[in-house]
Amino acid sequence: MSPNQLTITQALDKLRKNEFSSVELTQACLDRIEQTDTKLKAFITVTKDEALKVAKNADEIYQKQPEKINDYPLLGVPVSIKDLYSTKGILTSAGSNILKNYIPPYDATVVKKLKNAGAVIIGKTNLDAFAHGSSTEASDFFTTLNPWNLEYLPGGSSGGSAASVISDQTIFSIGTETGGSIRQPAAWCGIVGLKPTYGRVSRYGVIAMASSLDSPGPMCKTVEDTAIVLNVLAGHDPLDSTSSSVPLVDYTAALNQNLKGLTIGYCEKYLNKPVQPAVAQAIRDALKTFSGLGANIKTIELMDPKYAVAVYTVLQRAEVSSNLARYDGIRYGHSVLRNKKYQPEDIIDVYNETRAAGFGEEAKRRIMLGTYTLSAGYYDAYYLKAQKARTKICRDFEKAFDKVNLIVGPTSPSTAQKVGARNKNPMFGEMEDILVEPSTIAGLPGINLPCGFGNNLPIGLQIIGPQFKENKIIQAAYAYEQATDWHKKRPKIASVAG
Amino acid sequence: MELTKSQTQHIAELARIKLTEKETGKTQSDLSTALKYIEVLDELDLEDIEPTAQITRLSNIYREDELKEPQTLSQSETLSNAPHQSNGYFSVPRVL
Repeated sequence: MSPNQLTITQALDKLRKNEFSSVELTQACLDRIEQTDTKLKAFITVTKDEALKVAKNADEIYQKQPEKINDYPLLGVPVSIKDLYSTKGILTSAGSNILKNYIPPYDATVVKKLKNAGAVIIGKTNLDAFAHGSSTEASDFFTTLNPWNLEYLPGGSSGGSAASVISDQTIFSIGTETGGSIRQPAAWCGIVGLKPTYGRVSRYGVIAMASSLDSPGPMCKTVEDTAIVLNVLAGHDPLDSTSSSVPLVDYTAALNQNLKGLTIGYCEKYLNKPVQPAVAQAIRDALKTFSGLGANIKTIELMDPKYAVAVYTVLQRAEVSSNLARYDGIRYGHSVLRNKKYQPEDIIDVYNETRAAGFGEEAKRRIMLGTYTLSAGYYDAYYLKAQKARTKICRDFEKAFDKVNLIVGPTSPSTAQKVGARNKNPMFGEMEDILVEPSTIAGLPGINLPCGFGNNLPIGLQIIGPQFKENKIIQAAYAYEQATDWHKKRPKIASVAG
Repeated sequence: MELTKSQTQHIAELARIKLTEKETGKTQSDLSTALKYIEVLDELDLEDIEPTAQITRLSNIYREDELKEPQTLSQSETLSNAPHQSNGYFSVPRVL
């Protein structure tokens, strides 16, 4: 087995035993990227030189300061990062033309935490521009392909991250989710992806999309790796006032606990059309596995997810229109002012021209829908109404969690869709994310686990829990993973090389 | 709800995005499609329900208004991505 194919747990073990160095491990990932990424296109930027330097420093600690190893929970382990995280001195494009030359002068808190934990950043991964989408087809640069079948999409918006993990270009990755952007690509690529409770992980330095929903989180090969990374990322950050001070727990302590006494709910509505029969069957099989592990299985009622899609569409577009107002061509990013021949009429003209050229179709569409719903006379009819409906969805989940500890369902109604699928419907993303948006709206944590195959593509199972109960989710997810071997499957990408 | 062409043009103006004629038509139809998905909210009884803005129920997080080194950028770092700068300021075309 080549070192790049390992999990975090395995890699750390071998680094400690000196079976290979971090430089060798990092080089194995970089080689894999070189061999496969001309076709997969998971990366926007590969930070080879910087990565090897950091790896070398990690090796020094392993060799010369072994007493310090435990201070760095990810010492020498390669990670790819969604190109939505500000990385000091490294291009941070958000997958968009308007930021295609943007070099941040500071690190996001998550990036700083990864660096402090000893992780080796190997590059920045592709995404739908500004994380607006569920396929990477809305990237202003290129589309990432699904490593299981290159005619299919990896999902999105953290599609580059998911593809880089399942193709063993990296040991793990970091994504962000606003409404499905970690869980859905994790499902389509067959990896573990955790969207933490809103506020559990700091948003500071993550290029803002919808600030009341954005949640950074890990994308890994196993549940154990996910728990290790969440331990590093979680916690209050004085630089993000919406990050939570709810006390932290050791998420790895939730591994290896049995499921006796745990009640898992599922909702029939989440298994009906448009959910593909193979997907629904895989979830029913998983429920049997949970039952065999000692959990009680109970049916529950939940609101039709179409209401969550409506709430999500209003809130997310409104917050996008406000957050993307900052791209004005004055302070950073693409600007018509950089064109020497341009003679501005006035400053409004600078805004109009800069934004027309810098934003892609999806960003424009979202900004304008949000602008409309927030515009004079429409606030009550859209934004306020959606916020009230949001309360209703939260109460609906609270009621459900009175009866069950966790809720299980499909992550996506389908397995990966073909390249080009997005162009058929301006609401493509929302329909792909219909089963994750309710929990997003309620700020709940959720995980995707691989649970089967349909059409030779991975099927994803999600487990949702109450706010700040990531440990319960990890407990159930780990037990399921140990009882199955879906997480061990890898696509044959050797054929991709060249 | 169907948006009219003049509504679409007004929205683009508010959003400070210049649209071509072709883009205006496509935007008009795409936004109208999205609004249809939102209409289902009218089916819900939202009488006497409080709106949720902050999902983990935080409110009014205060801090001292003081400079802290790590998150303070120098003037040159702040201006490092600007298309035009002059004497340590962002430089912009005529505003009024």
